[in-house]
This record gives sequence, C-alpha cells and structure tokens, in this order.
Amino acid sequence: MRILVVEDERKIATFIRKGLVEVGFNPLVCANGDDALHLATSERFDTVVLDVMLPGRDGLSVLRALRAQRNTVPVILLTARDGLAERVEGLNLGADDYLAKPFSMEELIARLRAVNRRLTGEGLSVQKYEDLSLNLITHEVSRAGRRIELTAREYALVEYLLRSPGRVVTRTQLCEQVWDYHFDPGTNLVDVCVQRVRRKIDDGHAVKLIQTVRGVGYTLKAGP
Amino acid sequence: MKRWPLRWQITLWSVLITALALVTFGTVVAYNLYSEQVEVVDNQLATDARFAFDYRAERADRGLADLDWLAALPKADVKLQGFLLGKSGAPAALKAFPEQLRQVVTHWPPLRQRFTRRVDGHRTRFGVFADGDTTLVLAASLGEAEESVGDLLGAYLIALPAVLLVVAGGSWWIARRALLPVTNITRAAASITADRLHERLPARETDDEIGRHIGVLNGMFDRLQRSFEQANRFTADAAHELRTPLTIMRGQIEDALRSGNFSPEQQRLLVGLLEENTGLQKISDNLLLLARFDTGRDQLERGPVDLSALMEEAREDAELLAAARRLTIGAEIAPGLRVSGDAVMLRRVALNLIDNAVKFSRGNGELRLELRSEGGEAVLTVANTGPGIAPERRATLFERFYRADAGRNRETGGSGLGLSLCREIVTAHGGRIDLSRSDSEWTEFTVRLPRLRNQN
Repeated sequence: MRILVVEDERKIATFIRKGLVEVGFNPLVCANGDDALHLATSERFDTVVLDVMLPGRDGLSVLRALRAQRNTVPVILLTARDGLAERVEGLNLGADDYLAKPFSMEELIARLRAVNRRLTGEGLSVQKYEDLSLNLITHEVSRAGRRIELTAREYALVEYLLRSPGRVVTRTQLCEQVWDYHFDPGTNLVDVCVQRVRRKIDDGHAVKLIQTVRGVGYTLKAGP
Repeated sequence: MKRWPLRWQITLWSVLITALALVTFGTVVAYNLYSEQVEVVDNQLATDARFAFDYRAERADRGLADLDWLAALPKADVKLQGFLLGKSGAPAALKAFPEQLRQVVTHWPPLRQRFTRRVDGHRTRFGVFADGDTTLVLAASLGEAEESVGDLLGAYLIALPAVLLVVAGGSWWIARRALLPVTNITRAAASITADRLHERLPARETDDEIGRHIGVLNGMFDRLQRSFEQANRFTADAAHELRTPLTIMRGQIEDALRSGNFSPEQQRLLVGLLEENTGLQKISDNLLLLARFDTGRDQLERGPVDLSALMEEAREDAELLAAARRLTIGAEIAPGLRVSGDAVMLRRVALNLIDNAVKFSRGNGELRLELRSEGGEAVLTVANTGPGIAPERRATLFERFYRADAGRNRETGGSGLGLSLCREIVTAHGGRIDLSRSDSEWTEFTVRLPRLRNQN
C-alpha cells in the first residue's frame, strides 16, 4: 500500500515511516502542505496521513483543496488538539478518520487498514489469524471452529490484538485502547484480563496464540 | 448588624442619628427656656429689693424703727416667698421669714449674688442685695420655670416616637430606591458567568455614582474576558506544544521496544519510560479538559446512555481489578436505566470511583456497586470496606491535585485530578457527586444523575 505521510516534525515522520515499512507499507514522507497537495494530486496513493498543523498550507486546507478537486483518496488526520469542534470540522471536510497525538504506531496501522478495508470491502466483518476468527459485527469469536464466549472487555482485547498480529503491543497501549484512554488502573488489570483470555483461547490447543513478550507486553503470534 | 441588608442598616442609622439630634435639640431648648425664666425671676428680685431699700430709707427719714419696713414688702409679687435680713457683719442677729429659710444660708452674708436651692422640695431662687451695712436676701419660687420646662419636655417625648417612625419609613424608602440600581447590577453581573463573558451590564445615561460603577464593572469584565481567552488559548497551545515531543518520545520508545535489540533490563527501563510518557500525557489531557470545563462550554458529546449496560461493563473491570487484591464484589445493577450524556465521560467517572475503591479497600474486603432508580434520578454508589477519609479532609476531597492520603506515593497515586474531574463531569451532566459515607468500616461515593424516562 502506498501511503503519503504529511508531517513536518522530522522525528515523528521518521518513526511513522519506519513503522509503516515494518508492516510492509510503502510510505512517502513530505513535510509541508503545498508539496503534499501537489503530490496527492499528481500521484496515486492508497491513503494520506495528514498532520493538521503544517508550515505553509495547513492540513485542513490541503484536505479541503483535495476534496474540492473531487479527489477521494482516504485521509487520516493527525492532530495535537482533540477538541470536539476540531474533530467535527475535520470529519465534515471529508477526512476518513482522525487520530490525536500522541498515538501509537499500532493504532495508526490499524486505522490505515480499517480505512482501506472499508473502501475495498475486503474482510469487512471477519478478522482472522491462524485458526482464530473474530466477527466485528456479531462479536463472535471462535477458534478452530469452536465458539468462545468472551466478556465485553475480553472481546475488545482480542479485537485489538487481532488488528496487528505479530506486532508487540505494550500494556500501556492495551490499557488505552481496550479500556479508556484517560483511565489508568495500572498494568495489573491488563495482565489479569490477558490471562483470562489466554485460558479461553489457548487452553487445549497445542499452538498458543497469545505470547508474552517479557517486560514489554503481548503479541498475537503462533508459537509453542 | 453586619449581616443585615444594607437598606435596613441605613434605616437604623437614620433613626439613631435623628433621635440623637432631637434629644440634643430638646436639651438645648429646655436649658435656654429655663435660663430665661430664671433671669426673669432674678430681675423681679432686684426690683423688689430696690423697692424695699427705698421704702426703708423713706421710713428711716421719718425716724421709724429699722425692722418694721419689712412688713411692707409688696405681697402682690406672688413669687416672693420670704427673706433674710441682717447686718452684714453680724450673722447672729439675722432675721428670717419664714423661719426655715435660715438653714439655707450657711455663710452670712452669702458669697454668691444669685443662687438656687431646694426649700421643702421646691426650687427656690435667692438674690443677695446690700444697702450700706444691711444685707437683704430675697427668695422666690422657680416652680413656674420648672413647670414650663417640664411641659416642653413632655411634648417632645410624645412627638419623638412619631418623628422617628416617619424618619424610619422615609429612610427605608430612600435606601431602597437608592439601592435598587445596585440590586439590578448584582442580578445582571451574576448572570455574566464564564460561558457568557461577552455580555455586559446595561449602561446608564447619567454620570452618577451608579453609572460610573457600571462603567468600571464593564471595564473589569473586558479585562476578565481578555485574560480568560488568553488562558484558553494558552492551554490549547500548551497542549499542542506538549503533544509533539510526547508523540516523538512515545513513537521512538515503542519503536525501540519492537526492535528487540535490548536486554530484559533495558526493556523494562523502556517500558517504564513509556508508562511515564503516558502518565504525562494523561495529566496534560486532564488539565486541558478541566480548563475547558472552566470556560463553561459544554464539552460533552450528548446522547442517550444506557447507564445499566455501562455499569455492567464497569463491573467486569471491577472484578479484574479486585482479583489481584482478593476483594469480593457485590453488585446490584438495576436494568434499563438511561441518562442523557457522554458515555466516555460517564465511564470515566465509574472507572475512577471503582479504581479508588479498589486501591483504598482493606485487603480481603468488599467492593460494592449499586445502580438504582430514585424518583427522577439514577443513583450510582461505589463503596468499599475501607479506612474512611478523615473528616477534615472531606471538604477538599474534590479539589484539584488533592489526595486524601497526603503520604500516598505515585504507586497508588494517579494524578490527583481524578475526583475533581469526576465532579466536573457529573456537574456538567446536571448531577451531583458526594462522599455519602466514610467511617472506619465503609467508604461510599454516590453519584446522582437526572434519569431519562423510558420511551415506551
């Protein structure tokens, strides 16, 4: 997937590019609004990741110009302000999604995939990894064809892990994404919840899917 | 008196001042009247004495006995009560009529020309007159002067309450009229809250005290609005400025963690840094949110919220949290209770209270969640068996950066914004949050929110 990353802060642009390359995307980084508009109109991208605060033409005006030219490339806005008004404005201008800084790469990758899935209609409702499958609409989770009953939190946790199989997700990320971003119950909660999920998903199977990465977090990966 | 309304104070002071003025005035008038009457009596005495001495000189020319002339003193003068007569150098040969007058004079001849003494309980004026070696003291009653002063004071006494009543009524009315604009200003100014800072007091045409007062107040509102807007811009800018470095730090730490090029110890260090980074982010987010609540603008994404479902979810979190501390969970959640509000914010309130309850619960204790309907309200209680919060600390419990246990470290900590944020959120939903019970056995927080009626 070809992604245009418009971000003026060099260090942020660097780790976004690195993260996207790691998962097999093909990112092109550009640091100001005018170049971004030029690039987005002259070349084809699968998605544009657009910072709102930019030197020259700002992100919202790039978006406005793109949509005025009937360019429907999916746009994910990155912004340092998460006020309701700004969010509504961005979405009204035709952004496909919205991510407030600071964000984690897993989240950005998941949003990129979601935006493109929505557009292509591919795998819209069912996500799979190995013999684990999760239906986003019915909230049904099954492994090797057998239904697994999960509570709301457990389902959210599995869903989040399924967004980026193979990548390590830290406890902090799980805390934010599965619970509430602003709620900090300590990572203990995450561990307890992961253990319960693991019991339901991995017990009785030779191949374990939920792996602990010592000191860092967890990952969804087939292993012993 | 400091607690009285200003117009009552003004009324009271007017009455007091009027009373003081009237009493002073009455005293001066009565004194003058009395002095005048005494002067009249003195003049009369002098006339009588002159007459007596003339009469005596006439009689002496005719060789008559010295004392007989006294009998001829004019009886027509009703005020004259008696006399004393004697040679100036011989008190022993003093003659007195009537006899009791003799006690009045202790020194012969008397040292003062005019003086007043009580005789038989009546004020009596004495005048001392000398002719050659003879001294004559005449006495006259002051009864008439006393009576007229008494009449005057009596009239004052009757008039005083009536006058004071009129003054009280009048000054109350004036004070009310004078203070009416102030009352109106107070009402208008009270309606200018943080979210309506652009409003101003209605200006007055006149350049009187009230007009200037309004001008000054409006000027103050101008400055207030400016600094409020500046503060708002500042928080928004500060949040933005903070977020860029926080994003960089976070991205780089996560990137480093994923690379897997570190020893377990270095990894733990990086995870620690990541957690601190998130903590910092949460503090700045919460501060930004509180600052927005302060501006009074509605920060809520409103919609119908199924509070019962939200609490069932929260119960699951409570169970996860409680497992580590071996707490038992008791929950009684009435189904189908809905409120109007922001689900994310309300979840934050519930989780915050549950988190606190778990942190401060006694080990092996109980954590209790309840959601019930009470009248038009949804009542949510979160309670734990706990040490209780000291009474002197309860008042400040919902203040910012406040922690019930001052010695609490960051391990159990949180940012100290949790409960204040809870209160702001609940208040923005038109509800109330209280510490409803706190003793050595049980600590209980209660949240009351206006309930949405079920449509069917």
